[in-house]
Amino acid sequence: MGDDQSDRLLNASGPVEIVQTYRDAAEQMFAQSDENAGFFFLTHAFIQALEAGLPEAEDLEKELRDAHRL
Amino acid sequence: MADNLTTGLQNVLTGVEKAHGLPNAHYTDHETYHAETGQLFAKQWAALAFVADLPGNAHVKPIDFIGQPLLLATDRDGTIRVFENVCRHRGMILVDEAKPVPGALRCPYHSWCYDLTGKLRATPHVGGPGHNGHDAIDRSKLGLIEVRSHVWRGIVFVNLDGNAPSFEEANASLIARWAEFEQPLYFGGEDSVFELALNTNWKLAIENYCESYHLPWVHPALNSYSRLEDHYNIEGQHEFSGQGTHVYRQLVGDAGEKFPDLKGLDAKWDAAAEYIALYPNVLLGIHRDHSFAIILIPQGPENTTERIALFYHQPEAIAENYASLRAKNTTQWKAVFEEDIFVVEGMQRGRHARGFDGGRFSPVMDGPTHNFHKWVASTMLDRTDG
Repeated sequence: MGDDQSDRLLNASGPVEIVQTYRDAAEQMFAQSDENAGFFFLTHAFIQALEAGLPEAEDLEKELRDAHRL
Repeated sequence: MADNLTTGLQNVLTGVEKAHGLPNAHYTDHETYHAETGQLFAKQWAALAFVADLPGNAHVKPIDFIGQPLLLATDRDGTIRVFENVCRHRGMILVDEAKPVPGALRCPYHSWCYDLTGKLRATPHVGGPGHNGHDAIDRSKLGLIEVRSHVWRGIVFVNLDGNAPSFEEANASLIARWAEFEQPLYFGGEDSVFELALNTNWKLAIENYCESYHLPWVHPALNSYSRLEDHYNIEGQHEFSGQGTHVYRQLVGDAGEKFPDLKGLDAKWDAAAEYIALYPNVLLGIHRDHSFAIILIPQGPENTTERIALFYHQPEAIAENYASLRAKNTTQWKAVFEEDIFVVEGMQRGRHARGFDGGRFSPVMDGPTHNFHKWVASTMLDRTDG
């Protein structure tokens, strides 16, 4: 996770922004072919969405399950 | 149990004319206190909280109850459950404060997540970074540990050991006695709940509540219209005792208003009221137009928290136009309960007198208190004998 993403997490206005920041970090890692780091951040996006009751928790859970990461 | 304590309990289990009260150790000794919480609370149906402690669906409230960290929860459908407030991973306390739960409960340690039915939903990184499952971790078997619970008269009861008879079976006599009152209750709201912190053993609050003998001396204002001879004892049942009055008078507001009555009551309730201690730890009062409940939370052998809530029998009584009358009712009852504090705290200090032998009972006036002592003694001896 880059410094800009760390700053976004620290200053996030709420769970929606936190989840998006983790998703962005995951996409960045997948783009760099670092699969483990990508699923690490995707896991954090899922947990934050699950705790906050955000609808995207369902999609994130499916994404992790389909990748045999759940 | 020490022989002298067993002998002391046997001295309770005789006729009221000859019986002594419970030995001092039952009010002052830590070991005896822990034996009591195991036998008299964990194995029975004990009052934990009010339903109204949860302001709506999808809320949780942590409660430390006789040394047990518990979690009172409502799910999204409004079903109330009680769990052990502990993560199944490393035993971390799961929830530290009452709060709404928009999604899942997340353990603050390693973020294992549970839904409000107790199901374990997520175990992040449990199989290594980015791997959220592992063959050794069966999430279907690692949900929150549920504690057996039951709701009655706005109160959440728990049976910690899970082996008591059903609540309805265990309390069949009282439920039948008050069958007419088995109708919806309406919690009065923020103006109808308060707490008292008492420097006394929990049993002394029961003992004082369930007899009318003290009323003319401790509550002179009550006695001005409800005299000692207007009261009757409620005793002879294993699981409760108390007192009743034949001269209950409804509270009247500044404009002459009264709380609306419960529908369908027998005419005897026009002027009657009953005050019953349901063992081990709830004090109940019922009247034609309102009810109250006091939950006793033991905080050690010499400290107790009383949590009091008032309920009404018709929904209009909790509307804004009854706010001043509700506040007046709360103030009136709070004054009565505060008048009892010096008594229960004075008896607690008295239990440190080495020569005190448990005291004696008035065969006429103290039957309900002796009834309670017999329940304590017989239930404690069951453990010893078993």
